[in-house]
Amino acid sequence: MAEFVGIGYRKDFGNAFLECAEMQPAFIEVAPENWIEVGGYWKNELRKVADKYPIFNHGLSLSIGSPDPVDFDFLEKVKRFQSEWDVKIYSEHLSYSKCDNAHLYDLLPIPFRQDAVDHVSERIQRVQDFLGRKLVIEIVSYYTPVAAEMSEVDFINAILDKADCELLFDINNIYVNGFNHNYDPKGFIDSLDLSRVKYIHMAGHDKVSDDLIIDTHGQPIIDPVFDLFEYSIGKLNGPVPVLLERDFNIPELTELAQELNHLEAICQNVWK
Amino acid sequence: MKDQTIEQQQLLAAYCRNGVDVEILGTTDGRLHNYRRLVFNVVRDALSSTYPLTYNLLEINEWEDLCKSFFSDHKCQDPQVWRMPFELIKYVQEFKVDLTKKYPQLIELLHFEWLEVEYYMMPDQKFPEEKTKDLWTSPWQLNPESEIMHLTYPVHLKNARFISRSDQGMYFCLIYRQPDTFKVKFLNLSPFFAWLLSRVKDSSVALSEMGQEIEDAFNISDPEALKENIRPFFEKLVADGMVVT
Ligand SMILES: [Fe+2]
Repeated sequence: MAEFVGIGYRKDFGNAFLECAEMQPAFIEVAPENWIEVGGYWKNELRKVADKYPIFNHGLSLSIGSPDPVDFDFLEKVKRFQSEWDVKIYSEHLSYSKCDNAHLYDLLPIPFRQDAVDHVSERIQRVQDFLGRKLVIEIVSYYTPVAAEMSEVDFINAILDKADCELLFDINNIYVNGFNHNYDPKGFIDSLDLSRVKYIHMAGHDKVSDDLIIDTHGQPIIDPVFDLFEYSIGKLNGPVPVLLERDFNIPELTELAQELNHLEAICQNVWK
Repeated sequence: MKDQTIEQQQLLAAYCRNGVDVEILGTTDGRLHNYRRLVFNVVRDALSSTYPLTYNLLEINEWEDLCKSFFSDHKCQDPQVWRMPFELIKYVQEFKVDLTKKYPQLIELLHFEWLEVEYYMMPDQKFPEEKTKDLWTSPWQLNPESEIMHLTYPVHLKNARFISRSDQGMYFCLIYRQPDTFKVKFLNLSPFFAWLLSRVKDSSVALSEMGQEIEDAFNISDPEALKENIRPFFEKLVADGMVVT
């Protein structure tokens, strides 16, 4: 069984997941939105998986960067779900997915501006107070900045500091953003407040043109992202959980298990 | 936040919903369209996977236009994307008169397809602790994860493409989730059995105590003959986990 590396649990895995001997993650991650108030077959499956592995949550609909008010009714459901399933970590995206009272079901970039820092930080604090736990916010990949007045890294560091929250360090996203916006991912990582890192994501992506990568989670992790991973985890104060994300184009579980074990070997090497 | 910041966020969100070109401060040339594409794909995929029969019924451009106008005109309310397609039904009812005129079976088909998703996913309900000991002398204990749909078009019996106004009638369809397999099942009901099932669902009376009422409903006065008439239906419901024994 892996000690550090978990996997994003998907319904596509079906019951093969529990039967695959090679697949022994340290934990599983699910989006609460896909499981809240769900019964029947899938609740039964999740119960079996939860009996074997700790559960992490990675939310989709909190929309922490939205101009709209925080949906505390929804958050109440998230809270109940997390207590029912003994969820260890709740991470969410540093983005917005709802605006003008309409959900968009995807992650839009927040303007890198001081007023947005203040707005988002205050909301993170209210969410943390409500849930009684720290929120772990993820650096998202984005395809264009919007109305930026400060650098991305300054924006993120300012929120981490002001909201006093934790960081989901998605190394693939940093690679994707570096490529899409012409910056050096290592330089970005060197400037990031790594003392806040609570959790790491690793994934693959699709390069759709000479100057654009789309963060699909539909391919294996590429070598430069593995390199960046090794570079980054050596800089952390100590071990944190690492997630392998695969959302589309899902291969045989044995193939995913190999990728997971590769990540685990790097962690063991650096952290042991 | 400052008005200008909010405004830029609103412009991006509106563009993702309606796809109408827009100027947004400080964006990289040629990149914005990726957001519209990615966001709309999520919505269209959710709608297509919830409503595969409706997708087949409508012409390609009708389906595409419906997805586009729905996402653009309607403000999706559900934070859970798999539940969002439910909102399409009311939208079609209120705003897509052209479609409901052309396809009179459309609304019922949407309901039918949505119920399959809803029953598959719904939270577990509390099953009765008591058992049904006998078809005639003990009250039927029913699977609570069930309901009877009243339909005017046979969307549960026939490919929706071959349904026309001449199929209009009175149809009943039982939908339920099987407790052991978690599968969602549909069962066409005759008006007699639809009546019987609603009657036992609403009361805790054994058939033997219904007296004249049940004889009138089936137009059979001999209790033994009545029992034999109902037995195959009862046994089917027992076998399928719809009646708890
Ligand atoms: Fe991620």
